[in-house]
Amino acid sequence: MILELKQINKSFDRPVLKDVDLEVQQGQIISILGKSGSGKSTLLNIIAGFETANSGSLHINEEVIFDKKKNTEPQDRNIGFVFQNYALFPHLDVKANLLFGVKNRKNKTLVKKLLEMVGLEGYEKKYPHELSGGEQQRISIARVLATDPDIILLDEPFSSVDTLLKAQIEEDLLKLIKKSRKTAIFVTHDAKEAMAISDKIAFIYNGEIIQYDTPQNIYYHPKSKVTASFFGIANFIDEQCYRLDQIHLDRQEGMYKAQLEHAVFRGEYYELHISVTVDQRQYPFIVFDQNGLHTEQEFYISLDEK
Amino acid sequence: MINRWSSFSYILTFIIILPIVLVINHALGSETQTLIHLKETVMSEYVTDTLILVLSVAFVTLILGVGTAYLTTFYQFRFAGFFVFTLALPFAIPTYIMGYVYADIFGYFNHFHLFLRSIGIEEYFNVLNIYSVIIIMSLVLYPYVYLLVRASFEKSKSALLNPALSLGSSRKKIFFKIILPLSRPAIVGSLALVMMETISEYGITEYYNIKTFTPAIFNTWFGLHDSKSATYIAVMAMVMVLIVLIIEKYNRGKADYKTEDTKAKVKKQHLKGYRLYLTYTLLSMPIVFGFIIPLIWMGVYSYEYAANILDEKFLGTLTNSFVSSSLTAFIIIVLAFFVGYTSRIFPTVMNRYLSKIISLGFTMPGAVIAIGVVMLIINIDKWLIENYITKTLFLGGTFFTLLFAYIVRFFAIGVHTVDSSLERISIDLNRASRSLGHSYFKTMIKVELPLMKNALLFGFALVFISTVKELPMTLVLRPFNYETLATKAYTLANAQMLHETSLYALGIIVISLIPLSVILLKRHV
Repeated sequence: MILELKQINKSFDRPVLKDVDLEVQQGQIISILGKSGSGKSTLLNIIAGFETANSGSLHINEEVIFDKKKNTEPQDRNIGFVFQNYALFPHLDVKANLLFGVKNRKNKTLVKKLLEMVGLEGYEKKYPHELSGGEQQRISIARVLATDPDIILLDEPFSSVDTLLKAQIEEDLLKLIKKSRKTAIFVTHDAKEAMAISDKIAFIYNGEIIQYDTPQNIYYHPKSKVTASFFGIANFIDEQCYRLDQIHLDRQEGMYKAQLEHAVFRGEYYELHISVTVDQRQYPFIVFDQNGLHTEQEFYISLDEK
Repeated sequence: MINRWSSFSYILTFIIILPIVLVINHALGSETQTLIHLKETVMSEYVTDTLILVLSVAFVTLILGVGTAYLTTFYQFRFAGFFVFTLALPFAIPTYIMGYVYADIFGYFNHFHLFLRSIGIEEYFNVLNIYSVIIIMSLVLYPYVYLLVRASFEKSKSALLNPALSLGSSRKKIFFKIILPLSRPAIVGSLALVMMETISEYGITEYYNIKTFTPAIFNTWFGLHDSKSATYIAVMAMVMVLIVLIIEKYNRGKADYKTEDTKAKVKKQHLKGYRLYLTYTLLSMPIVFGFIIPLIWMGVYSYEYAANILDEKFLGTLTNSFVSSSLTAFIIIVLAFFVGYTSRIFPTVMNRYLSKIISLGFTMPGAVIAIGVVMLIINIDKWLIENYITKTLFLGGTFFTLLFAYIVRFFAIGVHTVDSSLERISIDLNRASRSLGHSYFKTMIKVELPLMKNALLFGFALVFISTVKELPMTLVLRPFNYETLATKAYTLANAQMLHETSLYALGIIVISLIPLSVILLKRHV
């Protein structure tokens, strides 16, 4: 196990993190997901050593990094950190930024290799302010990779990226990290993004990790209604959650009878707000329809179990 | 968690505020006979003169400072850029020098009265009174208000003038209802500086025989040899400064005075006709009386006396001023950088208060700090002699004592420039460096230091200029036979050799111009 957090607690004016446990395996890509103020950035800062937990312990490669007696300084943890605003040193050119944390400067091919890896050959002499946002991000990741860290932490790396470019940058970044075979922990507030990039997602709510699982499990089998609705439209029959792709609509036949309340036109589809009758009880559902059912008053639905 | 960085800050703060603590402690004792006598006789005069002077200077600088800032911010006219720059220049002339210049010009046998007699007016106007001091001090101190308020006007104007115009308000209404209220912190803040400087002023009040606190402290201490009463008056001066600071603090209240930084282009109004000439006249007055006339006076008499004065002794004095000021500025900037960096990397509540506590010296009149430093040094020397470590005075009367007093007095300038510059550097850069394997110290040298180079130079220049001009502490604490440009000008003026002061005054302005030009060349701090 490369990283292990046990019973981490942290409070400022109020408790921010409560008994947080987390285990990460070598080479995994993990997302810490939650809305703003949930404590996710604090957790990342505690792993990096920028902030100190009130109690608990932290291990890297089975070695204690932080506990009651010990608190290893950030510079001695061998953890790379990619900042939200990239934090490139504005007074240094790209080459000097890349070599900033490198102890053995004799390796002349290193800068070239790094720039090749991030697809920015020939950028050695440029200054951070001459780079676009995406380029700055790639340099900041190359700078971290240059020091060969055990773990890379990334704080909302896509938050300042243009929505149109986001998918491409997301893909590039993921490729880079996979290629380097590093363990990576992302912090994000975007569930879609977390599902797209992670092996496992730690969903954090009010300072507690309430579910830590694969994207598929957390999506189809959320442990609470809060988790369920954070990951997209969730319909419930009692405690059972049904996602959009588990619901099939039909005019003539199906498991349950549904009544249309109202329909919203969304371009590619209609969003239907319906009332489903199960065992003589009514459940409100939201479903998508591409077959013109929005004109009907009544139809049927069938449900998949996954 | 107290680490090495914080411990260093704590110890430094303790040493720097020790003199002030000693003064307060000394004053809070039983009353001496002299003090009772002073209270019965002149004490009320000290209080009234100080109050009249402080309030009047504040009022006049308010009018001059806000007026000049308003005209140069909101109106477009030829040579506007020239006025923006030159309006700050009177700042370079020490108050006491300006006092000597006008005392000379209005002397019975001199320029002004010679001219009056030549046109048949025999009347004598004595200028050695409190009204002249008010005008002269205002001429020197209004640039504080002008510079700070102008910066605030510029900022709120570009953020809010266009939105307000689009809502249909008139320019006059916008100024009085939006821009002026938004600049309240800048106005009150700069007036607080003006008032503190006024309470602290020594040279001019003494020459014009105005009984404010600072000359009172000196008279009691050296004239009546009563240090207890002197510290008592010093504490009264402190209390007055504290009242000013409390008013400044609470004036802000709950309202948020921050505006967004914008680069919106805002059209200035063009001035034409009589309003243009009126503006020229109004803007020229402080420059002519606050800078040009004193400069001409200095030039003329420097030329006349240069042959007599310009010798090795003069160069020695010039060197003393230069060396003491550079050394003070260098030490302050290095130490302030350490303190500022410490509270950046360990942002504990204690560390944040430290920069406030360590800045106390700037709010104290120089005379008060001088007393505190003397008391501290006497105690250390006494202890050293009693314990047979030295046989004679080890620190008393040395250059070290003077240097220490300068550091106590001007540390706030260093802290302020360092803090405001550190604030603008993202903490993420520090964290990035550390997560890339560098220690706190190495990060400071490799990241913060190069990024703050210009701001540190700026702080150095500000401390340097303040130290060159410093008079009361230097007079009390300098080693035997040690002269700076300021003390020499003071001694000559008090020996009624006003014209001979011109070269020393010019020296002060010339060596202030060296760091000043550094600031102006590196405007982007």
